[in-house]
Amino acid sequence: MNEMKKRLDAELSQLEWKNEHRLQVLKRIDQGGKPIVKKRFSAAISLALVLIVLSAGALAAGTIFSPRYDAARLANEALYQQYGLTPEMMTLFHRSVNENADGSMVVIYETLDPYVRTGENRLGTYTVVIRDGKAQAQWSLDGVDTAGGLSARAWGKEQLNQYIHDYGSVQQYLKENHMLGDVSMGLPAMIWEEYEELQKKNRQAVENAAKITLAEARDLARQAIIGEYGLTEAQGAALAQGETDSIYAMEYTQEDEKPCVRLYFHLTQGDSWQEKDGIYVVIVNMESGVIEDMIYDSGLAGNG
Amino acid sequence: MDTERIARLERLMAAHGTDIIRLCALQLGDKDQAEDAAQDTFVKAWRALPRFKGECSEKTWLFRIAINTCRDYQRTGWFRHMDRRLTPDDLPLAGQGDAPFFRGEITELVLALPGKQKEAVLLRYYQEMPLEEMARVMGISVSTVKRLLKKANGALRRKLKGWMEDE
Repeated sequence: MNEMKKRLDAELSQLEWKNEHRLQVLKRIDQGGKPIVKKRFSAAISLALVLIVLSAGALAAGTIFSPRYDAARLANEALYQQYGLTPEMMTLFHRSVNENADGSMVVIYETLDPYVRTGENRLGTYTVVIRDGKAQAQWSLDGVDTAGGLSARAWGKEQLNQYIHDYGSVQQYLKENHMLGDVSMGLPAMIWEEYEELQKKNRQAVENAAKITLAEARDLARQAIIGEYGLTEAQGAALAQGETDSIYAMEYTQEDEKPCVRLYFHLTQGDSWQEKDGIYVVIVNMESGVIEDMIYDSGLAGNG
Repeated sequence: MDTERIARLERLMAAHGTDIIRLCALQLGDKDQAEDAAQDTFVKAWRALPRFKGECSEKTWLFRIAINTCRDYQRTGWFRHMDRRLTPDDLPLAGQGDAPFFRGEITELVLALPGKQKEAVLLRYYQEMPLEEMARVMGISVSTVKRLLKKANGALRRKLKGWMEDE
């Protein structure tokens, strides 16, 4: 054996192929050999994650998402397929996920445009029930005719498409038809000093409980965005996230008492909006490394 | 699941797993990436097994998959975003985070080599592969392999005494 090999083997002696690597390979083959999502964990969190995955009865070979996010993902897919909606159109809705006692999940999409507040919300509300991995979607305006452009009583994919790509024309229609509600957003939930105080408190709680670093959380979030939204290599490289903890880059939060950071990423590919541009929000559990939730805001419809 | 194919894969993993993960670590300079890349290599090998007819050694075939996998990783935007300026001195102390996956100057020197030269050095000196097999793994001619080794040796000789060179 030559000298180099001897020395390299000695220097790399801590790096060996182990049974856990072998099991991961076999597991992925069993699942159809899906590509791995890059992760970077400390040894301590790796074991914790394996335990979480095994106890949830789920098999994962990469980024781990919370059951709530998995439900949201299925719900989104159901809306894409059944109603022809797109991720950009989802920007017009606020999504909430609730778990029922029987383990099923209910995902509700309600419009968040404050201007559509006339008692005849034409965007309606979408409700998706997830049970045993299957999604059933309903719209509060099912059966109502969506033909006829903006004058239709129900605004489906055609109108939503116009809403996000030609926001001005929709606003004009609402104004001309006296459909604009009270534009006042009301008083903020808290003053700035109260918000800063809450952030300090949350930060302390999150830092005390954290088992992964902020850099690791950012890496996880970035990989989750790239994987979940199918960003190309160029788009992934252009995804920007502020490095300082300003509120435009990140916030400390306790989601259902879980110690999390909410990370904001921005994608701007040129002077005018392009597909996948917008803001991506990822909530990372700093104790387990699980992605608790992800939101994409295309910034269209005057929402960004 | 095809039990015979799985049995072949198990044998490959047992025989070459450590070599593959170390090769990936030296290519990528990162332990976690190396583990992912090594696992990817064996998943790809499993898929390609039915087409492998023994036209080269199993080790050559497997190493070719590993080298290409590492090249794919190096092309991704995520890999380019990692802070490659970090040196072992910058890494956190033991107990404060992940320890370096290696300890020693040879590894540091190899990691510092440019891509293709590093591949050539690892296959030649670390895996003791004949030049013809190296050419097959790297997808280049034997003369190009020799040129890469000559360049790498020059760089390493300046830094390392008692270096073993090609005859």
